[in-house]
Parts: sequence; C-alpha cells; structure tokens
Amino acid sequence: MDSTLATYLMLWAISGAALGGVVTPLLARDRRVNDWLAAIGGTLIGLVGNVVLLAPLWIVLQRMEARPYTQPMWRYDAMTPAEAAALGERSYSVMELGGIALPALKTELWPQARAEGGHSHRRTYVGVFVALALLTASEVILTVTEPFPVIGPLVALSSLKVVLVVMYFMHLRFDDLRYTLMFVSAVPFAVLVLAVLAAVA
Amino acid sequence: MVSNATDLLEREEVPVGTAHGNGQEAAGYVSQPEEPEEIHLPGPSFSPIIVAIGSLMALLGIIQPLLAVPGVLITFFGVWRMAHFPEIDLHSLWLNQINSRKLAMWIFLGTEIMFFSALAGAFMGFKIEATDAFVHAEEELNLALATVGTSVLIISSFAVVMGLEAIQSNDRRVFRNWMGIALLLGASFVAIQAFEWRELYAHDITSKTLFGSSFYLATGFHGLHVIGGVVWLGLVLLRARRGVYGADNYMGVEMFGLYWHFVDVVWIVLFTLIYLIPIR
Repeated sequence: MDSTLATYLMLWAISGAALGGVVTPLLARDRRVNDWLAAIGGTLIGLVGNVVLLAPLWIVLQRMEARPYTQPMWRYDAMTPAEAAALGERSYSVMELGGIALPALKTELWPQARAEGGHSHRRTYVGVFVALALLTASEVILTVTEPFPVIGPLVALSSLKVVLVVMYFMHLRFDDLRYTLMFVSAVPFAVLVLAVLAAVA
Repeated sequence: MVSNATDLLEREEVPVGTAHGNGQEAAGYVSQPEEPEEIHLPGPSFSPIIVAIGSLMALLGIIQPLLAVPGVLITFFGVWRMAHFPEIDLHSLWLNQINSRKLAMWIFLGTEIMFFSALAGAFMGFKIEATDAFVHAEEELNLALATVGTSVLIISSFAVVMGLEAIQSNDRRVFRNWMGIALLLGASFVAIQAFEWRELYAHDITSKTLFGSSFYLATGFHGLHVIGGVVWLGLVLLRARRGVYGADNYMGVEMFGLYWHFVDVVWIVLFTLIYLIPIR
C-alpha cells in the first residue's frame, strides 16, 4: 500500500477512535454505565465506524477511471486554469463527481430489469420504502409533540405501515389470492387473543 | 447427490424390475411387459375438514349446549360424505399452480401472528391498567435508540426486497450487495436491542418486575426471531457465494424474504405498542 495512503487511513481510524473514546463516556455519564466500558466501547465503535464509512468511498474510487498524473508538481502549482484546460488537465466539479459516483452506485445497487419481459417492481419498492420512512418519522414526531390525543392516529399509521409491508414487500398484492387467505385467516384469532389478554391482564 | 428437496421429488422415476433380470427366471416363464404398480390413494376431500369443524362445535357444546346440536349434525354429515366418497378433483379446484413451500411459509407466518399477538396482548393489558412502577419503568425507555432500531430494520427489509428483485433478474452482484447490507443491519439491530436491555438493567428494571417480564418477553422473542433471521441470511449468502441462486432458482431467497419482512412487521407493531403509544 502507498505510504501516504496508509498514513491517511491511520489518521482517519485514530480520529474516529479518539472521538468515540471521548464522547461516549460523556454521553454515558448520567446513565450509570461504567466509564471505562463506555470509553473502550466508544473507541471500538469509532474505529470500526470510521473504517466502515470508508467502504462506499472505496467502492466509488474503484470504479473511477485511473487518470495518470503527468505534470510536475511545480508546474501544476504555477498553472492558471486556462493553461490547465489547454493541457487537458482539469479538476472535477461536484456535479461531475456525482456523474461518476452515481453510475458506480447504480451498478452496485440498482437491479436490472427482468429479462423475459416480466414486470419489475423496483420503483414501487423504493416508493414503499420512502412511504415507510415518512410514516415512521411522523409517528415519532406525533409521540414527542403530542398535539392532540395521538393513540388513534398512531394505531392508524402503524396499521398502514403493516399493510404496506405485507402487500408490497411480501408481494401479497402481486401474488395468488390463496396465500392471502391463509395469512389473513389467522388475523381474527390474533385479534381475539389480543383483545382477551388486554381485557384480562 | 441430492441438492435439495425439489430435486428429490422431481427426479425421474427409475423403471421398476430392471434389477432382477439376471438369468434366474425359469425357462418356461415368459416375462410380461412391466406395468407400473399402482397405489390407490383416496383423492383429496373436504370431508375431514367438515368432520373437524363439526366435532369442534360438538365439543364447544360443553360451554354452550346450543352448539352441540348443529355440531353433532355436521359431524354426521361429514362422516356420511366420507363414506360416500365424492370424487371431486380437489387439486384442479383449489391447489393448482400454488407453490406448496410458499403456502407452508404463509401458514407458519399465520401461526406466528397468533404467537406474537399473545405477547403483545399481555403487554397491552399491563399498559392499560398501568401501575406506578410500570409507568416509571416505561419512562426509562430510550425512544431515540428504538427509532434508530426501527429504521435499521425497515432499511434491511428494503434491502432484502431489492436483493430479491436483483436475483429475479439474474443480477447476482447487486443481489449479494443488498443481502450483505441486510445482514449488517440485522446484526446491528440485535446490538441495539442488547444495548437497550443493558441500559434498562442498569436502571434496575429486571425480569422480576411486571414491566420487565412483559417487555423482555415480547422484545426478547422478537430478538430471537431476528437472530434466527440473521443466521438464515448468513446461510443464504453462503449458498449465494456457491452460485446456487439465479433467475431460475430464487425460491429460497423469497422464503427468507417473507420471514424477514414478517419480523419487520412484528417490530412495527411492538414499536408502536411499547414505545410510541403514550401511557395513560
């Protein structure tokens, strides 16, 4: 490995570890967690977390085209942007970097369309996921602020989440009706159990 | 080698009687053309289900005697129907083109609903009639941490569904990426739960209190399911590394996906019930 790269990696990992080791005991102080345990745990989490953060960057860099650097250092420093452009050397803008990174992420994470003409549900799944995230956020905000009696809305929102997951992620919407019947036939019994226990306990 | 159950079931039938043709037959014996031996199996029938319902009603007659009369009548009707043996081709009526593994998974998930509804019901009952100690314990819960855990589980559910989509279009690289993400997220959910339990124990909420017993039972059984799912996902990833899955064979992934989304659903319900709904 390049020694400069190794130095940066070590600095990166150590900064994470130091931050974790300092911040976690402070956070844990009034939670009756052992200070030493918190410090060690925080150090480990910071170390590992920072290295994990590097993984997506690494994947993107792997995908980027290697551009040999030919200009000598003194020359590079002395160049005006116009000269650099004339030489074909230029820096990437943020938009251009996005143009490189997004296709890389797409090849890693975006499934291809189905081959044999089957309908692909990729966009539906993303939509359902966004809806679930928004619903969860609004539920938590409702609980924290409590602007009005929230039990009814909370139950409604969670039921909506459950229905979304079961219908789309578990494919019941696109699948045979008989699976739905099998699953849903258990629900009345579950509700019965729930009601009886809630009333008795 | 038999690689899976389908292989075993769908293997070509070996012709019967090829093994004993090694010159031991009597000289005058002219061997007949082999006919496949037929095993007579009764066709599938609704009658046992009718008998079961009838006898259940008859049994409930102990509690409510009015039920006993139709119960006994339905039982007799079922037995009579069984004796007459109506030859209905049930497979073409009801079971055609249905995947029996998937059906079994759905039935299993149905039983799991009832199991978790019992645990959630107990917690709900205690929460409705909350004692002071219960209210105090409930205030110790860490809503922020639980929100992070919920998000982690929902994201992992999304990762599994995207992985399934990828393997259905034979995109193994994307499939493995998403499954790896799901594995990491599932494991971190377990870690978050463990941290929360530890914090609660530090606040003297043990399993001997009313809150502790119901809370640890519900979240603990859910956590066990998550751990089981993480192990299962590890096995799926191992099989994926051997190149088992593809656009023609993704049923194993789909089975796992159903289970994992169900675990997610259970957590959505438990999260609402335990953390979100305000007490009193």
